[in-house]
Amino acid sequence: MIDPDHLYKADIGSANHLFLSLHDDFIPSFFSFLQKGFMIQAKVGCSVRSLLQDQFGISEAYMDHCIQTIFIDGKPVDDMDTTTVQDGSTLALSSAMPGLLGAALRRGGHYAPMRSQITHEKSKKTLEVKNGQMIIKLFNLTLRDLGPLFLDRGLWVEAEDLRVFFCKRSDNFWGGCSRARVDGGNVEPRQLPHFAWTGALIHLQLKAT
Amino acid sequence: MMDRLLRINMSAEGGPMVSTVPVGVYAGLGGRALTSAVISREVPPLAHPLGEDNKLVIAPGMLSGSVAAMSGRISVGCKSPLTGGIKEANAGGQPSQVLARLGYAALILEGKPKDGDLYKIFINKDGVKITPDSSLRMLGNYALVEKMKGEHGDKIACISIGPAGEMKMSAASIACTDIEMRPTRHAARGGVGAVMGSKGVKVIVLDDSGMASRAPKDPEKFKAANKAFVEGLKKHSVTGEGLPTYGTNVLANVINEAGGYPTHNFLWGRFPGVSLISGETQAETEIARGGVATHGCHRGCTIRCSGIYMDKEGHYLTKQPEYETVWAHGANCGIDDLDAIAMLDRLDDDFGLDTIEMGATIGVAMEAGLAKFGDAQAAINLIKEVGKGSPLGRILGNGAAVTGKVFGVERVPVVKGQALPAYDPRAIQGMGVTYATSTMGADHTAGYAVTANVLKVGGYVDPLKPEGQIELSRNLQIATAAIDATGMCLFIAFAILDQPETFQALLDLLGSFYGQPMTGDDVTALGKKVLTMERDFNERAGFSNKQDRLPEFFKKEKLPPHDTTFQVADADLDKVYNW
Ligand code: SF4
Repeated sequence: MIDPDHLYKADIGSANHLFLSLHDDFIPSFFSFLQKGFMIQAKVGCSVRSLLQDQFGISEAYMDHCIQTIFIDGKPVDDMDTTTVQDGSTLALSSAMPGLLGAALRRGGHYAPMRSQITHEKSKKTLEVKNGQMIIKLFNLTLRDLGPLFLDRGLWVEAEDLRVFFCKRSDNFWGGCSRARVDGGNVEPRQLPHFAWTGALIHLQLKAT
Repeated sequence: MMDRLLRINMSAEGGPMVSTVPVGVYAGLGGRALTSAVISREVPPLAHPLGEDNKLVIAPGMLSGSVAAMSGRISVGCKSPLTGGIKEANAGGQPSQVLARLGYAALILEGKPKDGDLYKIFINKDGVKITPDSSLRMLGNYALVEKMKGEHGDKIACISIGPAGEMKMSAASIACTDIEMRPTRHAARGGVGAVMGSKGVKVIVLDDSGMASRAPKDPEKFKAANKAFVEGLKKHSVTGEGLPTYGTNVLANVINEAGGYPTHNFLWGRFPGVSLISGETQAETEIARGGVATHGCHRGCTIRCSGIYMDKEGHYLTKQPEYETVWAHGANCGIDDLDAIAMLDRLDDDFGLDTIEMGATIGVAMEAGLAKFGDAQAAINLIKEVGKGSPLGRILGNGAAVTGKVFGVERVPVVKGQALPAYDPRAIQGMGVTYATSTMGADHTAGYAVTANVLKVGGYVDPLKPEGQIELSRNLQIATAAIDATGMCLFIAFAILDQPETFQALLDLLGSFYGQPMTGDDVTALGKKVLTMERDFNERAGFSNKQDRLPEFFKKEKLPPHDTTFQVADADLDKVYNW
């Protein structure tokens, strides 16, 4: 198994770009990449809320009610407004777990004195907002709700993972793929399992039809 | 009403003797409160767990047999052959509802047969029939239940043991049949199956034909409370969406991310293959193969955290393996193959084994070099050895502590002889407090501190710091003991700890059923009473605070990725039961 942190070490500049149009029934088959972790480029140094809302376009209502457990580098986050994301951070989002900004009981401040020590420390220094790379992991219901959005936007995954994934696809899956382009050139979708990728990473973008 | 105890003396001259007696001093108790009361009052604490003085108590919960949602847990109590202390293990499935509707507050197996016979007990509205049946010997739970269906039809519920229970292994479980009449729900922990085996009972067949649901004292209030309770469960994101969609294994990714997912026999806190065995992947696999990802283990369950797992050809293999099982047979053994894990679950259910204990045991065996971490086929072969009862299988079937001792392994994750489940106490310190101090040995359900720690149900405490963990563990152990007494599935805890109105609905359910208003203080008092009885039994059995400790390696070995050790001081652990 490959640790998602390896994604950082690969050279983004040499990544191939794959654009794939397919029937939206098959979009969920790509969710395995999303729970394992994928890389994106974003403005870092901002709050988690700003990243999710301003850059990813996730609605405030969804953030407050559905994204209920958040980890940065494996540590639970309590406050989306004061926790900042940095270059190289791993951000994991989970919806089915109650927490963060979920129940009114907690939002009413009942548990405010217990708020995360992790975020508190980080909020002391102001970080410079700049371009950076991050790993995102989507768990449980956020996969279903946010997965298509990230796949449509485009993300980086490891070429070897994608090759193995394509090799395991059924005839049914390939029947649902209407068009593929690699680095701007047309490719027959059924050839993708055998495609000679030149980079260690692939920038993957899906279009649901 | 559930106002009788069914006592069966397996030692009696001329064969097992049945007596039905009023519930007496145990009136008003159910589930764990009842099993622990009987054990603590009637079993000599120094009795041999497999001897004639131990008793096996099987008790439906306080609301079992009624139409209250989620009320179908059954408790099994005895002195444990694994821990040497008091034990309560509970299970879902149909038997709790059926036994309660038959009017029994508990079934108590006493003594042990002198003739070494193996018995079948059949209970219906007309009474109890006990017959020796050597044709049942060494049958797996699946074949056994099929045989019972052939003899009694498919309107029954069965409580049974597999070969592991007959061989009196300390990891042996007691199986309860589910809605589809499959033996998939187990009172698994602590070797309760070995105690049933020592009583010479292979299967208890329950038939509630002709019996009505238990009626509440105040039907109107009860109906309203049940409605509010179900609504509360439905609106909470865990009980209304997360658990039904993905099952308990929805925790895998989250606990792994928190660095508390024990991997390779508790060497690391993260498993690189987690996404291959997560609840998300499991649900997708089940649906793709024509199985089910949202399924109840008993009628009246509205959360439906379970599912049905098909093999690659689309044939039934097992029920959806639980989070604990997937972890134990998966990450803990370095196995990232869901089909292999499902096969191990099936074998455990058939042989009648605790999946947590067996996964931990195989992890220890792998550490000892009996197999390589990640070798799924080797793990399957080891479990088959247990089913056969070979000398190696008998060692493994007696759990992680015995296996560690036999093979000279130092890192053996047990407390009071019982294997730790799926959260590493170095990352999630609150679980460590509960593992160390629980009356049951390391038991995740005894104080679902993980809900507050990682899932942030009922308040937030930094899982990497010791402060606050004592208080948290104490309160949650009390709450858990009380829920276990009601017969409610513990997963209601997510909603009742988070939503005051849902907790109130639970109190109203109990109050209107028994005709006596119940308050939060009553629940706390009930939980404390249960824990006090259990502590008292353990003390009389020779336990002291020396047993309320985690294995040394948790304090010495840092757990990656957070590189933390267990930091709660022994003196603080000793405060858990100060109330
Ligand atoms: S929530 Fe799960 S364990 Fe609890 S009763 Fe329902 S199916 Fe059984």
